[in-house]
Amino acid sequence: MRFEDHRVLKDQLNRAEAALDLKVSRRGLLRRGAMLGLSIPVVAGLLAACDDDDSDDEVADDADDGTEEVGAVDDTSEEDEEPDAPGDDDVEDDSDDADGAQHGGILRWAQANDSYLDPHQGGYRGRTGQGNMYDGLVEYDPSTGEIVPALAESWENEDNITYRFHLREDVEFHYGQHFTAEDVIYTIDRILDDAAGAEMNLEFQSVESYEVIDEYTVEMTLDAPIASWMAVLATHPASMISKEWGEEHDPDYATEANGTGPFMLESYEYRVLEEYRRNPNYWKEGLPYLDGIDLRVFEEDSGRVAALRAGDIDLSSYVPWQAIDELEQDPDFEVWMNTAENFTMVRLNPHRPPLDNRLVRHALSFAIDREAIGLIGQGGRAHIITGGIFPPGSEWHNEDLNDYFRYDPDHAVELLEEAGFSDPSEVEIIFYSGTGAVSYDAAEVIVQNWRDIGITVDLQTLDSPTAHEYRLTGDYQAFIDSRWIHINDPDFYTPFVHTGGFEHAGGVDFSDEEIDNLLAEARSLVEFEDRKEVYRQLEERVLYLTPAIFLMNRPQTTAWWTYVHAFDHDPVIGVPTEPYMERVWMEQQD
Amino acid sequence: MTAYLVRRGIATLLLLYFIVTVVFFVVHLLPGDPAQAILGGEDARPTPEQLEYVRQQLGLDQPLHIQYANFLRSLVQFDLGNSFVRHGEDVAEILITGTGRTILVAVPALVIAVSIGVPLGTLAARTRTRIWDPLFSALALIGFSTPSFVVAILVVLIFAITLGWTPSGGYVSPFDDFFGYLHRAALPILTLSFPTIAVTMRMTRSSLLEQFGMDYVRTGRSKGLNEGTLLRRHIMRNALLPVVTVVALQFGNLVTGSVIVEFVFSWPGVGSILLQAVENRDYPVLQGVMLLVAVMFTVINFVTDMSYAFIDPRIRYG
Repeated sequence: MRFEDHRVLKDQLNRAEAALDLKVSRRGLLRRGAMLGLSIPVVAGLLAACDDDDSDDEVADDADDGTEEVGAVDDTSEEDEEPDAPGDDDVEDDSDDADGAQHGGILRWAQANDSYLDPHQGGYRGRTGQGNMYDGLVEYDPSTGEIVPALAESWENEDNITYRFHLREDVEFHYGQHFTAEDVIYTIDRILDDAAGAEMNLEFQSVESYEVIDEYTVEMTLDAPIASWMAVLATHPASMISKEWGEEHDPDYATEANGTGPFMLESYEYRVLEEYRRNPNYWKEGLPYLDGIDLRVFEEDSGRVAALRAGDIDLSSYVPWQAIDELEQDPDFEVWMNTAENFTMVRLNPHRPPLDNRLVRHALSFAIDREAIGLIGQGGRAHIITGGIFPPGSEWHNEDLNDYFRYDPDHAVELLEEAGFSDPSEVEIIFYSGTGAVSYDAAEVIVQNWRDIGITVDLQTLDSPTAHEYRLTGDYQAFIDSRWIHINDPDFYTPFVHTGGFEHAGGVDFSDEEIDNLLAEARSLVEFEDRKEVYRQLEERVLYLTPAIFLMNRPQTTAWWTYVHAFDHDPVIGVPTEPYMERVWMEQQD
Repeated sequence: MTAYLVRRGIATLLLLYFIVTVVFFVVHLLPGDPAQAILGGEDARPTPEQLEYVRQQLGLDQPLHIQYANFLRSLVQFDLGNSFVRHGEDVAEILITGTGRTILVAVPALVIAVSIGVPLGTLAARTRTRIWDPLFSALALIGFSTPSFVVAILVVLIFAITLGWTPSGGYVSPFDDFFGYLHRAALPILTLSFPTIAVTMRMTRSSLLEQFGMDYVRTGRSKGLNEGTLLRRHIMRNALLPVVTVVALQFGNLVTGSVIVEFVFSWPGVGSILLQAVENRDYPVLQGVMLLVAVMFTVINFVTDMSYAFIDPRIRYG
């Protein structure tokens, strides 16, 4: 470029700098300051003058119109029909009214994440997608937590080793294939195939043999008695797929779905919109009530709540605790907290000094003010764990272990002394936390608690994939984490504390013979009382060794407009509502 | 001119190669495993065998330099690969869709910003000593100081919840439902245009003020030209150069930097895609987005430079 051009461009650069620099004279500054100062109360006044009511009226106006029936509904619907599906009659919650259930409507559902469609993939995201499109041999009654028949009408069980299932004869897949015993075999084949990435792969490895007895009878034999086997089969990642369709079509299960469930996949746009439509041939007579579900992803917490309040959405999952008070006070909404199947804990690596000393681990636990964590982290809506993981209300809860770790910083210091640390600052800990508020808020409290007793703590944050890697490799001293109880049975302790357990013990190389023996014993027992006693001993041993510090159970909150019904159920741990959307109905409006 | 273009072209290619290489290695050396994300994310409990299977499928079990070589080979064939996590979708398609969606909010935001910012800046420059200039300057200050998520949340509170004029988020394609799209895009566009209006306005104002002090303006006035003609025919052309630069850069920012706005409004554009790709360690998508950003800024810079020659005939490249 020529000389003039350089000069021109240099001028421009200077001017650009000047423009963004806001060089002003003092008088100019005062004048601008006054303008700014005046504008704030004006804006605030405008906002305050606006009332909240207006936007709610649009949607809620017809909420009381209980008797109206939508015309263009599937022919199996009847006015005020009484469904005969298991579980619908038992509900005690007053917002669920099987007698007034209406058919029709498309439920607009806000989620934090997209759903998984693969029938064997697990996790929360599977509940919303595959949970409603597929069925398993058995399922839960969400109201009672009991395991009830689903695709299997009945079954026999010898010593928890051999299971024989008698299948329903009237079930069709969405694309028309008839459900038979061959499909069960095909399903188990897929779950055991590494290529499928099935969630229940590990559990199904306990199946020694499985075979077709006749067209509607299947037999499975396990390699050892497992009391929790039916609980495994009741989880949604153990859903049945069609052999005929699978072989003919070679589908990509991540994007295509053909199940026996109440809803069929109509469209799936990653992270934008998932459309599910009613299965007119669903084997539960008269269900589902809804014509369909439109699931939208709103990653941002306040976005979901805003969409709900604005009436764009009928039901929102994962309501952040900060929004709960406001929604609860608003008569247009129903707010429901499920049983805390999610629990927060501090993972400890018992091989990294000074955590290799049990007394130090105990000290850390006594030093933590769990109440404060519950208040700060969850607005006081968490259930604090001072004993075993199963909360009061669960049949597995052990009352006598309840106050094993009360908040006692003095005792913590005593324990440290006993462990040989007369000066607590010699105890040095690098403490990892994820960036999510749930972990991080709690982590901040814990760091403060530990520092209060003189421990040297360094808090570092990790993003999700990194956190997950450390979970598996055990590359940490202490790491705050939350997990969920994926199966409604205390056998879920196994992956946590059994030698090699992938949830915790394997990563940090924690191994205790007594724990392994207790777990094996409990798995082989049949009677509830016997199992309960063994699990009580197990919990006591786990608390004694403290491979991890349990903090709290955290409920998941869902909120919906009052014209939505039957989403909630009695608290039963490990039994989610999301895969049972056939029970949900909406009052019809224009 | 040709020689200049050739030189420019080669320099650009070298730059892109450098960027792509750095991104590749940084991304692959991050802790975290995409195989885990594919098999269900944090909640899931894949067995080591399942993880190994997935890694093999994705070629992640090979040594890094081999993966790099494969990556370069695909790249020169214009093959960006397939997403790890999004069910094997083609990365190029993901980017095109995502960019399209971002453009659906970025371009209107830019148009609004220029349509409002330039006239306001002009007004501010011309009425310097009266009330408008300080007022606009104060507004501009608010405009580019306020973090975008604050603006976003305020805007949702006012328009979506309180007034109920628009939905609070989500995406609808204008080809499916044009008015639905306008309805939903209104708030993100408003949020994005805020800082852009401010910057454009300030830039226009100061650029004009600079021109007002120049000799040719005095000459024009003494010749008897009226203010309007003077402005339109002579001053604007000179004043616009820096404005064009800034606006072009703003456009680049709007397209590539709208992560927060897309997050708050659940608008599935490039920002969202990038965020998810980082979360899931979706290497092909991450690399694709980085490449896209690099190419976009390169093109913007080039177009901007070319436009100088158009606006100011004294500028020549050779």
